[in-house]
Amino acid sequence: MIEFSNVSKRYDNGVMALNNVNVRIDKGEFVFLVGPSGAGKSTFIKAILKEVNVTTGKVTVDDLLINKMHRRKVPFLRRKVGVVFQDFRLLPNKTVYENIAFAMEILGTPQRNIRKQVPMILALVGLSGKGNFYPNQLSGGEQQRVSIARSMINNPPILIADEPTGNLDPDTSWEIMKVLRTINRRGTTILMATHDREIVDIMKKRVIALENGEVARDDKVGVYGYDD
Amino acid sequence: MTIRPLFTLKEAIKSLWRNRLMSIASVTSVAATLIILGIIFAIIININSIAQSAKDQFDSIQAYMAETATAEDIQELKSTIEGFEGVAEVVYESKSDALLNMKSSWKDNAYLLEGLEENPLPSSLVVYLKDIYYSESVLKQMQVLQGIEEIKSYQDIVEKLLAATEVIRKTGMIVIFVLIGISTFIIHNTIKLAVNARQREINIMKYVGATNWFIRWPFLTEGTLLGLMGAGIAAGMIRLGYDYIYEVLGSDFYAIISVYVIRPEALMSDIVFLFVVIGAGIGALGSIWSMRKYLNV
Repeated sequence: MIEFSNVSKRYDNGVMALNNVNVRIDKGEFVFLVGPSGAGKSTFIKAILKEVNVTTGKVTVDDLLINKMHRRKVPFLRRKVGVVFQDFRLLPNKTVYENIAFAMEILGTPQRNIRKQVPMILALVGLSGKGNFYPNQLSGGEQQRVSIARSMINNPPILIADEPTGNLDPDTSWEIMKVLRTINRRGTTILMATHDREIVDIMKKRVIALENGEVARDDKVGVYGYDD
Repeated sequence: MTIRPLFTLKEAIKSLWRNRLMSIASVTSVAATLIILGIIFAIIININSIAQSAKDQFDSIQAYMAETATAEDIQELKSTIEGFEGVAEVVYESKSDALLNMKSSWKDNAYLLEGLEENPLPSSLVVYLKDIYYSESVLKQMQVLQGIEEIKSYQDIVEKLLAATEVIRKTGMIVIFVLIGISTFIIHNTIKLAVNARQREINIMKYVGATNWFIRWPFLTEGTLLGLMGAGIAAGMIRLGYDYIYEVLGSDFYAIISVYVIRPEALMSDIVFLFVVIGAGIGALGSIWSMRKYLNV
């Protein structure tokens, strides 16, 4: 599903963000990406989304070799990979429904299908009946669910969550994790970058730790392993 | 990809209204550019038209006879000139013919000629050419003939007119290119504000997998709209100004010139087409330019 082979990334300022990384994530896996700040987690994620081009090595996403991918094809890669951010990134002047519908409109989905599917995804993330609320009328946890709903509405095979619980209190974080687990059980591959020790330790999923751009650990059932 | 034209248009107008100061600046600059372009265009096509009709009409050379020339001299000259290549016809115009012609062309003011004690006008030979192309060679041959006081040809007028058109066209081109550049830059800045205001939205669109054209489309609409508004204003101003000038020229004093001036309706169809194309072009170019940086995410 996602494969990095001998991937290195050196930025123009000389920083080696990824150093000979070899990782293979299979379909349906749930993987935590951990490591200190500046260890290369962001670059790892950006390489999957082709926000950065790797310097050497091969990156494959859903059987697509994306190194040499033409810029014009990048939108089609992004449609295979849903993304959720720490800061939700919702449009404040659109309702919950519109925020999600927006992601379908971009792909030219007929309104008829949008009207059918948005309520279904809202039910999946536990926000039935909140379609007409604006983001500022929702709690942080609810906003993150909207953001997850938006990232999943077009049924991407992969979901990347970049510190999705970073702005949330522990109880709310667990609710988000339940939603992510549900999505994972439906077959979506999930890669989640996080600093949340408790979640990583309790979930008992695969953990990939990056340090100084290198894979320091890759355990089938791992722990967080840092003190911060 | 769904493109909803009405929705896009509505959004574009909303966004233009939000940045109305810059929108006004953009529309004004496009309008100013196009007005200047319109003026230059109007001058050029009018001079062209005058030169063209002069070419068609003044394919003749008038040779004024010396006072001393006798009827035989004139008859001899006439047959000599008739033998030159390119001459279609030579007509003799006596002193009294010349006076009659002048009276008829002066129309209402002809009474001024009544007071003349003797006819000051010379007799002449009017040489009609098969084509204005022959005028130079015929002129050269005529210049060496005896008994001709003065030769008047319209060739140099036509040439001067055409040369003037060329100068206006060239300087006009340079001025217009500079102005188009400035207008494009101002639109570029306006759209950049709109893009900045919606950067978050663009960012999300990129992550959800929107194609660049999908993202560009609304901004392109905005820019084109600005250009078209400028074109509309410019066309209106040119119409008003040109109507006024046409009317002034049509009034008594300049009546002779006005025959050659292009009618406002004829000018406007060209102007509107030109303005729409260039206005929309400036707008589209400016907006695509302002988006370049944002799309490379």
